[in-house]
Amino acid sequence: MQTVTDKYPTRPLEYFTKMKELRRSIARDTFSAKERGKPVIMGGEGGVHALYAAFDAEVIPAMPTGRDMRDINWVIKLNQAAEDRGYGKDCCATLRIALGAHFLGTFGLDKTRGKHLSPDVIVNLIICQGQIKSHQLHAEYLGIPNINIELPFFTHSPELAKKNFINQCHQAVEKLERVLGRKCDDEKLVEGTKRELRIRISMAKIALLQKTIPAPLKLRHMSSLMAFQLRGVTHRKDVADFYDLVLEEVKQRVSDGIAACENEEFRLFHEGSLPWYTKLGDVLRYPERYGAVYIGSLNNFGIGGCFIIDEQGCWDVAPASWEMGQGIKSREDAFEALAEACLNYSPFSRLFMRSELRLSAAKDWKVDGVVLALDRGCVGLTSGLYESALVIKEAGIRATCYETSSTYPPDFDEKGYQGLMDSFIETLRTRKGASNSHAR
Amino acid sequence: MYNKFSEIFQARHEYAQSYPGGRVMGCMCTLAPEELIYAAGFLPVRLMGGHQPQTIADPYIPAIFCSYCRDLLAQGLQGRYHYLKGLVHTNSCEKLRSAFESWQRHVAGVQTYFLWMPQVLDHGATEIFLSEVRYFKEQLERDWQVNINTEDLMRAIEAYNENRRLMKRVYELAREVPSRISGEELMSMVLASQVMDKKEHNQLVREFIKELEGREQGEQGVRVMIVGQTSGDLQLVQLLDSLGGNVVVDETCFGIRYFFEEIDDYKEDPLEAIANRYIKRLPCPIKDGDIPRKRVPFILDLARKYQVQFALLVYPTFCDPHSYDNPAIREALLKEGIKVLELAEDFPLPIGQLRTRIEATLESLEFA
Ligand code: SF4
Ligand code: SF4
Repeated sequence: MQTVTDKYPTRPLEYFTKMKELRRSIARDTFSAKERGKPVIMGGEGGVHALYAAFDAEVIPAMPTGRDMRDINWVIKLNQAAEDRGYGKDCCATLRIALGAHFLGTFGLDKTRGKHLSPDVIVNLIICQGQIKSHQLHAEYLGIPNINIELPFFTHSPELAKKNFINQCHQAVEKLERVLGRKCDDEKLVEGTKRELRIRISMAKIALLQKTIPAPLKLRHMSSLMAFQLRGVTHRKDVADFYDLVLEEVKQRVSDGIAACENEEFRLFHEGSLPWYTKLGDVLRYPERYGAVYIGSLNNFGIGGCFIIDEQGCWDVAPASWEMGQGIKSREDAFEALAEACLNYSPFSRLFMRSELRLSAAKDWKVDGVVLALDRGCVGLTSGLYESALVIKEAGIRATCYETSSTYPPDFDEKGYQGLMDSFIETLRTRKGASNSHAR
Repeated sequence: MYNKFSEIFQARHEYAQSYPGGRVMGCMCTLAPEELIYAAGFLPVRLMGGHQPQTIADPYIPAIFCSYCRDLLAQGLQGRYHYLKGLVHTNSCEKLRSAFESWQRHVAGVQTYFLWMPQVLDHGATEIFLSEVRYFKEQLERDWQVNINTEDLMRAIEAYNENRRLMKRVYELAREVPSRISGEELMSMVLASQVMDKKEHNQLVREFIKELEGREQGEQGVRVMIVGQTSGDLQLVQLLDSLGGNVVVDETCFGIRYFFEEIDDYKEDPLEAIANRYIKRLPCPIKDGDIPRKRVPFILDLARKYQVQFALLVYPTFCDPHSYDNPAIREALLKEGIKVLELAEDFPLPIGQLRTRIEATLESLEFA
């Protein structure tokens, strides 16, 4: 197939150095928690990290982190360990990895000091069935209490959903006070909430800048930003400040016409989960040889950001008054704002509308094609993908699907994926050629 | 052998189509508040596995989703349930919800209803589910121009409660050693209950109990318990019967979980009582997400009471909720000295393979 030559200027991302520093300092803070008399909460994922701030707790992620996933052979061993205990491939892939780490004794291991960190309690915002069952198993295995805050994704009344969510947050506070033997610090809760919202807003603004042609960032960069959300640290001031810095840099790139991919010709979304192990880069980079670049997804924008979407399907950032965290003064206000962030402004929460939202995003970000990953071990992000592909195709945007596993390397057929992308991008090219000659 | 349940179950589509008034509402899961549907003048019928190839569902649900939800959608697309006026689903697992969504999008002529039920079933869950149930009532009244009053609801609850009591009586009888009831009789009774008018079913269960009371005790077969999700299937139980296994109890979505709890205190606010019952009933793996677990001790208790020798953990291939629970269930049962066999079912059932595996386990028990 024809390759492409550089069309746009590009330059390295400056925030990378800061990001690495930040990761190191988060890890240092986490592993020194007990020495500093702080409680440790196992959590992360979708949000409500302000609760960790309210109890002055450090967070150990419930999901596998890059550290566990760097070595593919180790990833396979973790899966194997889970399988040996009966947790087969049908179980959520992240659970298998995390359970494997328990069984092989590396869960919470500070490799630099050779010490284990044990969490006191699990607190999680639930976005899928796999999470609930995973946390049940973690709690049993670690012998610690488990607090779930569930997102009521679909009720006949949005007010009811919000009320239920807020009640769950209050209950979580009561339980945490009992379990940790300390009081909820409402001031810290408010501060944590404002930061969490600030990050969601920054994330949304960064996502909106991705509408620019050429896109200033790749999906890979967006995912590494999301990692702070999955890590459960969006209540931290240094993390919120970091997002501001990223936003400024991305704005600058846009005004300087800097591309993430120097030969951007086709813009792609990648829906469904991405590999957690080192193949992530290979998966996302592969189409770039043909000038096709992954720039985002509903999952990425929708879980991390805060948007309003108008009737024409145009995405914008959530309202400004709310963005500043104005009016958040009490525990009640904080939970109310978090409920709005998670239920009203997170497109991912619109359970029966995800296909239409995927389409509206694909149009709004002017993508040429959508690639959907059917992850055998992830129900949360895989359900509805075929329906989305149909809706997208019916609207005249190309879409294709491939089977994979985000955490079990042998289930990813790399050659098959590459072959699929070769022909998919070829069809994009043919179609573009046809429509260009039409236009002429 | 009492065949009536089995016969009606096998002819369930004809039965539903001859329902007076023709108002039939499909239920995708045991969490549908059937009493309310029944009070609205509908026959609620549970959608059962069809055990046919599911390729027709391929464009909508990937092959890596459980064979049960693919099967249900395939039947919808093939028009097997063309007579349904409505389809209701209460939020259980995400794969089944996907099947429901595809049904909504691609099967014409069915009015669909979705009720949110949280996975975390603490006290906040009742409030949210009750509100969904109240709204569902309004929808039924509006869409079908019916008025569902308190008396209708109470009558429906009473018919359902009686059905539950009668079936529990049969399950009690199955505790006898040796049992006088075959596995097919036991399971087909519960399956038929899910596709029949409750009053008519009650009549048959009474007749069945009478017959059982006069029946001689049978030969001692290996006492079997089925745990998990059989997709509404009699083939497996028939196979067990033919090999000398006797299913005396189950903990499945198509068995005990359907009917185990009655609705209490319904006179003041029947809708609240209905919502309470569904929130507090025996949890399936999806709703048993807290610690301490509820399913494992319940299964263990059943196994002891029924003197179970062999437990079959059955679930459709690619079903994650059951896969999470099975290691703990297996361990608890093995500790109790019970043989355990795990079967991930594919549709159509590979009967030959199943026969070999089950036969080997049963033989090892018979000669033990
Ligand atoms: S989103 Fe996927 S990987 Fe994550 S917890 Fe849910 S099922 Fe597991
Ligand atoms: S619980 Fe299991 S069998 Fe039932 S629909 Fe969900 S995945 Fe399928």
